[in-house]
Amino acid sequence: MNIQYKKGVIELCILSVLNKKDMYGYELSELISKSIDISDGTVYPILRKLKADGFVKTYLSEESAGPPRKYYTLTELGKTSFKKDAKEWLDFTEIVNKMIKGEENE
Amino acid sequence: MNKKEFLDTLKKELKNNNILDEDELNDILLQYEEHFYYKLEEGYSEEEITKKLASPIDIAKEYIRPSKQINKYEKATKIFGITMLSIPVLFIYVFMLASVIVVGAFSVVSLTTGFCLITSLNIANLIPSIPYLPSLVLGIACFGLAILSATGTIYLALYVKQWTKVYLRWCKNVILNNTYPSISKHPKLSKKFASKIKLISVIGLVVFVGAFIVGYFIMCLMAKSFEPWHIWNWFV
Repeated sequence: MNIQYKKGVIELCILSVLNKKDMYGYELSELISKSIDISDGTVYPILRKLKADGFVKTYLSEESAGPPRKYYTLTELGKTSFKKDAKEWLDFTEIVNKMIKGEENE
Repeated sequence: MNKKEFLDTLKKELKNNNILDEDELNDILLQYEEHFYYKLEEGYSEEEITKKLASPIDIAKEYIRPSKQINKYEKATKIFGITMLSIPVLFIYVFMLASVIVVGAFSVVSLTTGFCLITSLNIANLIPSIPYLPSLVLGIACFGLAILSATGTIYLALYVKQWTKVYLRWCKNVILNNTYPSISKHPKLSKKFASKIKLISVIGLVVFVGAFIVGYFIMCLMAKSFEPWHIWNWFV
């Protein structure tokens, strides 16, 4: 699977994860790069782009140990965008899955 | 590569890619500092960490923002265009607002007429002479009409508000060259509210039509004619 395609999907994954729970950069990056076969540095630039486009925003949280963590959370725009994109993705993959399975049956 | 080499190369490459603002550079690098911090805590060596991060040259490329910064001339043209477009749009908007007001006023008039018919209060002698029973029934019909047009006003007002939002969102997208998701053309009403309004409007309609028909027939019976207004000299 080529990298451009993966990047678009990773955006959707980030929004999906944040839709359930706020996370700080490293936490989010680890979660996604452990699941999808990408290098560790892939998530950070994508996260930054999502913030610049207004889909996520950040807040600082003073933890007792370590550096203050910058948590990412969905904006209203991010939430509505995610709902729309998630549905599109599910519909799209359902069709593609059917086509692929159909071809294997022949 | 060790951590210092990685971060220095990353910073240099970001600058090469035209990311020159100090705050932005620090912000980006801080994220990788955080990454190193936690990875080192987990026991990885700097070599291992930089290997899994891949090339800082490639990473720096990912931070290039395509010129979302449309040049000032383009933005000015867009703002001018939108302003020109908004003039006729404003007229249409005033018309829509006016229609909301008209329907609202109609509702008030129906209410007052109904009130007058039921209480036999003949304001400014506008109500023709009519026996009390049909007057009462027609008064009720007017109340029905008032309710129906009141719900109509509410619906109209909600749609006007929603369409304003849709238009403003479209303008924003054009000027900022963004793709904020487009807003639905229909106002978002809670199911409870929507069904309540629907029920009220149906009640209004039924009351109006029913009472009007009954009232008319009562008038016909009393005047012994299908044109009671002739018998009672309403239009002389």
